[in-house]
Amino acid sequence: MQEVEQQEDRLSKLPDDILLSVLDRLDVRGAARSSILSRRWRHLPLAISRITLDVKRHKLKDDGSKSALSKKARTNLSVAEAARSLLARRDQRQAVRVLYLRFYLGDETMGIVRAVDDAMARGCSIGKATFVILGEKIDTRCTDEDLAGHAARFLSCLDACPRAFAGLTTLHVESVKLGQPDINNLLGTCGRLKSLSLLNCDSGRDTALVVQHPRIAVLKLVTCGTIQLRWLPELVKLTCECWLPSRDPLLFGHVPRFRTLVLATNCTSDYKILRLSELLDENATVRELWMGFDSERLWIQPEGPRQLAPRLSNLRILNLQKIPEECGITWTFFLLEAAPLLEELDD
Amino acid sequence: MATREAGKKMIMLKSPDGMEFEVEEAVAMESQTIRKMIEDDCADTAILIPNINSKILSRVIEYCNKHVPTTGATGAAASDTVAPAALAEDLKIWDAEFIKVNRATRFDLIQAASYLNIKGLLDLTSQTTIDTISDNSLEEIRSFLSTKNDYLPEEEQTIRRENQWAFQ
Repeated sequence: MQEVEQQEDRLSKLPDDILLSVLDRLDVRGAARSSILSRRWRHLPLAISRITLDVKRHKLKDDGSKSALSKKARTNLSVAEAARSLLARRDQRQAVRVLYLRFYLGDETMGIVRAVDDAMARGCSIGKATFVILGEKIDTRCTDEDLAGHAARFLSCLDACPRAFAGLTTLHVESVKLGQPDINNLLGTCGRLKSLSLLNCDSGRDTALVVQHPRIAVLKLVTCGTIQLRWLPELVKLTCECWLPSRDPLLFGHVPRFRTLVLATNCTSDYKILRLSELLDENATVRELWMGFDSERLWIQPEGPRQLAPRLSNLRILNLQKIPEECGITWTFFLLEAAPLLEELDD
Repeated sequence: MATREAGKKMIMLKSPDGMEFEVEEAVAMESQTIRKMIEDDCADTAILIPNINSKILSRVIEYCNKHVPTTGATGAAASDTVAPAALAEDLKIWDAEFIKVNRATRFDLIQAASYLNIKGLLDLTSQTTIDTISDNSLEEIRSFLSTKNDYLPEEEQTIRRENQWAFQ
């Protein structure tokens, strides 16, 4: 009898924190569904410490498509609802350790950002917070008008919900036209940011966008205009892919902790031929250099060690991918000559 | 220093029902809770583990013994001779055997793993419960957990409405 009784609903009798550690291993949908099991489970999903919502994985029941909205818009809407219901009523007693939200930049975006902003306003602390804000259109299909429209939408979220952005540690934004005042506004608001990734975000002008931030350690730029790294004391890694053909991708400034640079492009346009001696940080901070040449021609010009050595004097690891066959190994000699401390060469 | 030279420093763990278990410090430190006690110098001669009876504690120690890095053969030699993949495969098979216990014991192990903060053991013990909650209908979950639905019908409707996105 005793034994049978013990088997009765043992799990529900465990304390909240233990049930939560089980629920935290579930996807958020499973956790939210558990609230319907019994009264004991009613409020537990509101206290789970990991919240991951991803439009690309979010399941939608086919409702016979009676809705006029596109599938992307309906998924976004459902993510917004989920974010609201999971973050609603959270305050300082229910910290979120990991928040990861991946959604489209659309009409419903404000609802998602607002849910986070409201939780922040109630004093809910969030450890790692990530927004991955996708474009509804593929980046290469966006017109200038699209980019400007996306910018208006993105910046209105930023202005309306500064607390949400102030809590972010990781941010990805794509296909948004960002002028210098917008970048300043964004970086000024996102004070905790450690990792920033911009895809197809250009100012539309020939001038470089100036980036300064006290905490960013990892920066990724894909199909962007020239970026000037003016003051980034914590920057460790920079990835730059598919920059605009007529421009230099980067201008180095104060980056004392910098060590890893990844440069790669698969675009077939006529690239401006770059000189590493002009591109790289003059303080020779780069220790790891990755270059990918999935393009029709090389975009780096060989240079003598006299120009190059001062910039590569701390280089330890060099990784070269897809060097055109006609160039062969001899092409790489100019890099090897300029890097006396090189320990590893991969291709 | 002397104990280190002799090989392994030992720690005494006591269960509330009076049993004592002598284990290597490295094994005990698989538990983040115990690790913290040791690092904060709160562990003198014996550590009392409240709420975990000797039957469960001995199973937990068995798990930690198996999962402590460089277990079995001496240190570096082990990793030289056994491929990491094979080692991981061996652990998986061992885990699957280990978790063949009745439901009550599994829930006890969940509680112990959570209190002692042993991530691997908590993952292992929670997994069946997680699979059940993610893959089955509500009634199947309730029956697996022996949970009684104590909601009034209208309450249940309210909850479904509030979490509509999850029931779509």
